[in-house]
Amino acid sequence: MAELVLFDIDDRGVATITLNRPERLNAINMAMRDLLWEYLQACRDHPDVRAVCFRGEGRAFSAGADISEFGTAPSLWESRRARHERDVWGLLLSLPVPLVARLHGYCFGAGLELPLCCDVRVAAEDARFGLPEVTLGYIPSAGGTQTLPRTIPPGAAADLILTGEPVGTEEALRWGLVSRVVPEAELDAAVEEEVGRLLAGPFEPARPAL
Amino acid sequence: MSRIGALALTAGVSADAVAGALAGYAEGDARVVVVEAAADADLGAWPGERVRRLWRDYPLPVVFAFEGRLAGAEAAFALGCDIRVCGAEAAIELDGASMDDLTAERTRTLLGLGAGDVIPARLTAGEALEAGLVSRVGPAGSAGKVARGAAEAVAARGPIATRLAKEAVWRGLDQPLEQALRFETDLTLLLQATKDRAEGVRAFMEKRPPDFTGE
Repeated sequence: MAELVLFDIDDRGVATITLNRPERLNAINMAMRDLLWEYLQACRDHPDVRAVCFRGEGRAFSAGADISEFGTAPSLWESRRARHERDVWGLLLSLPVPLVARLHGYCFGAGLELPLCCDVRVAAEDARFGLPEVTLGYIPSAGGTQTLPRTIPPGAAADLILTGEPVGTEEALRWGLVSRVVPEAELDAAVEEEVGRLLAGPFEPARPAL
Repeated sequence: MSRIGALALTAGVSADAVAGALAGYAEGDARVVVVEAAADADLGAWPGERVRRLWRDYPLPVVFAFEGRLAGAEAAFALGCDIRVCGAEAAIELDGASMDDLTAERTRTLLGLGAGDVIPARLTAGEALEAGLVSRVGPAGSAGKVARGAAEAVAARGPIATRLAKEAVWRGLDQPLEQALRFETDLTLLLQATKDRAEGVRAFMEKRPPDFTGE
């Protein structure tokens, strides 16, 4: 079976992390979270890494967490401890290099919360963004209730989080959820342009500050 | 629809009457409240403590709808709500100079303004949407319908989840991010212990609409 998350570092020091479960719209399961944890630690510890780019293989960036694994944690206490000990999203927010998200198709739940930890979000015209957790009787749990209201106007964030309804690129661009929208055919070039710009200049983080 | 509490701000409806009606909805079966401001609305006053109580302490999400010109106490009330929607011809007037501290603070939070920034005096529907002060704008005259659409979405969700989501968003915003993320984690763990969360996952796997009971 192919690796669920791909990791590569090019000769400029640009690490690319690819969600690679296209047949499930890159639904992030526990195995993928483990790989993300491993690769993000590598990005933190590898002195040559100068930027990290996130992308999704197939039709979507990510439709969110793998719901079929919900409710399989041993206990609430264990869940809490594991969360604090292996804080993937906190690690992401603390990386000292620019983080860029290449977004297309569904960017739902954790598939939006991961990009919300990044500095730059570039989207294709077909991208849709949402935090649908309340439709499951749940709330965003990868930082979304905190990172979204610190990224877009909090009233707009409250609408998305309380209704669970998604928005398209027009609203995303209006409220600064993404900084740029391009036709899908131009997405790689646009991401490359952003990465080049970030590598060239002094880096000022644009993600919510820890 | 007992799940959606409805309030109309019209002439003769006092601030105390509104506060009483809201308290009643919070005690009953309502999962969300829709408030529609009529052109002749006259709350008299809606002080900062009441603005803050709406977003910080009132348990249910509140959706506010307006048309035409919204100002004074009705505008202050709107600022305390969770979701604001309006018609395309609407405008909101914010008199920063006469606002009490808590109302000004809430305005700055919603507009992303710093302490020294001047609060804009008037925003058209388009400007309010750009600024995220309102999140939905419909054709003139449709604000009530747009608000009920948003409220129906909220009412269909897990009611414990939407209450905790409201708390996470507004109370989390005042906390340092690291602490706020731990706060979110604890609220999600609390939800993991609910029947609603189990029903939500089960319904999703069985490809049917969930039947949330608020347990």
